[in-house]
Amino acid sequence: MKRVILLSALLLSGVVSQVAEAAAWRTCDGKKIKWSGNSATVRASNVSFASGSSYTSALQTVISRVNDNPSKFNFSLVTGDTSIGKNNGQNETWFTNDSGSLDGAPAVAFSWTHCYWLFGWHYGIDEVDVVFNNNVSYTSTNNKTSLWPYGGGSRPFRTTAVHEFGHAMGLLHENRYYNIMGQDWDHIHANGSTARAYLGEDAANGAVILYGTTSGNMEDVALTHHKYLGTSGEYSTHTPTRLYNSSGGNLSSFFSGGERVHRVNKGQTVQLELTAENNGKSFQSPKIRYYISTNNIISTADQNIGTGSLNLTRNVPYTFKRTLTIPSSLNSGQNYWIGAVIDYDNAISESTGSNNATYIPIRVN
Amino acid sequence: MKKTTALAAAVIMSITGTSVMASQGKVNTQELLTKSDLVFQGKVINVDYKDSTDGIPHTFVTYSVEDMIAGEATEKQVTLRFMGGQQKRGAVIRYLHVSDMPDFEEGDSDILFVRKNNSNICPLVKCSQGRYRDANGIITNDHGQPLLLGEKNEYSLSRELMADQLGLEKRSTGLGRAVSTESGEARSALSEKGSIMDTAGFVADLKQQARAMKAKGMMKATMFKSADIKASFSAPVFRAVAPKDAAPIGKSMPTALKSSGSDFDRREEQMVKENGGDPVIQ
Repeated sequence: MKRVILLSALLLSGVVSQVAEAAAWRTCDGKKIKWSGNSATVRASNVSFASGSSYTSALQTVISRVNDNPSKFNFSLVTGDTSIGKNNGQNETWFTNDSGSLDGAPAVAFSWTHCYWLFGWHYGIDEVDVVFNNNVSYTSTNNKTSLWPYGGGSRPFRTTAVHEFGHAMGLLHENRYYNIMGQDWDHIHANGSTARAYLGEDAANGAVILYGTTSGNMEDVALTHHKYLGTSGEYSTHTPTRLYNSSGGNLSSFFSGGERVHRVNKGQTVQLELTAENNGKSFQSPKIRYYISTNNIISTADQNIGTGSLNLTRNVPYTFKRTLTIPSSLNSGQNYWIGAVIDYDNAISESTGSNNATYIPIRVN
Repeated sequence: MKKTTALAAAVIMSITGTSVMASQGKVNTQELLTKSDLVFQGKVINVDYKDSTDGIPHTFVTYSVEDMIAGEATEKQVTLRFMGGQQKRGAVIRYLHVSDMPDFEEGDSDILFVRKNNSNICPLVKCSQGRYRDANGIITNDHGQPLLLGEKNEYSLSRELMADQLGLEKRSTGLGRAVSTESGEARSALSEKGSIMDTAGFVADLKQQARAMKAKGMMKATMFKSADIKASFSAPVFRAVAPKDAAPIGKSMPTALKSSGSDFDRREEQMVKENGGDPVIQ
């Protein structure tokens, strides 16, 4: 009985002392294992990432998205590598057909590090190779309807690559928050017909913890229609955010175009759920406007149905609900999209504004 | 069986008067059993490292088998071979870390779902997802998140990371794991509750499931082969190939939800595009 009581006390303290912990990394004598400098070069295989190919273009975008974080660290990309290999002193990336050994893993990051004491501690990352499994149904496109999270038949290469280069930066898996170092393919942003892979707040925060804050300007706030769902091993799983009735209950819905469409009445009070992220350097209090749109692009040109603001410290994503009223002027039987634009007044000088809006489809009864 | 084992967990919970928040990711033990060549409970008695013939470090983890849950092994000790590990050159110690690969230490008490030992870079079902740890009678995943039993007898993982509290983080230099102490405003809407699962109950339930699945012909009849650290071996080459772009595949592409198709919509789309995707249209 004593053992049980002790365990119980430990477990309880674990629950109570829970704080918003973020990214994870390896340590050596308590010190963070990371690159010794603030940059690393990735070399892409000329076989897997041929000049002018869609995958080469996608990889270039991925490196740019990983670099779009407020830390001092960034990758540079060199294409046309003719001699890829493990432990050759170069960071390389390629596709392989050796799916037997990978046993279904979509990609693997092989990280070479050192950690030893020789008249002082020596530690750091030496080399990281990222290998993609060619037997996974990847696509290089960002066309939403091709992608798993939007009902398509392909895994988004870009999200998986962002995840793997998160490892290359020194980050480990994280399964307690909506984040790219969990399940990657449903950590994605969309406004319109294309989807956007990105590093996200949790990993951006991890990059800062490892490498410190950039001296340059890097601010970015974002809205996405995905949120944390649960845990699958070391990975977080994610799910689309929802529209709820005034008491927080589920609205009736159906699926179309790979997305859930919520049924609403004219004049109905609803709760719109979205996830806000601060991917930038500083605390932000962005203003938000909520809109009804006649297409899946939310912009400030759409019908404004509400305003608000958020206080966003860079740590972990913030999933929230906002009560709104469906306008009585909408047409019955027509599809609309309800959504929001964060920093609609352009008060923040952001690295990108392309992630500032997102939507949830609705149909008016 | 599950109800019996849940009773022990319920005792724990009744003492503290609380239950633990579960994540909504379910643990599919049937899938783990189906994909396994061998499932056992055991204790790590040795961790050793050896390079492949092409110089890639591998870790050989030897378990003393305490309870065989499913499958067949001829020895009471089994050795698993993982790609990655330590490489010593004089005083210099390097490590190869393979993403998703668990870290092992002598004395670890685990339940393992073993698959394709000696050929996979990670010989566990779904790699780290094929390892559960016995933390003083509480069953957790590789991370130290307790396994919970829900009201409908389904397994899920706690969202709470309790590795420190359960004494699972005793890693030596170079293989540690850290988390930020940054605090913030994470607000979860999850409200699902579960009872913490005890190790003995989990093992008993797995055995019962394995027996039932074997009777239905759902278990593989594969003879497990232990890894031999004395034998030479080579690491996978992972030759570079051109990617197969799976998209677009017409039949698997859903039809987009119909918008109004108005002139306004077209103008808005054009303006946002010209604005680099920024939705703030001046």
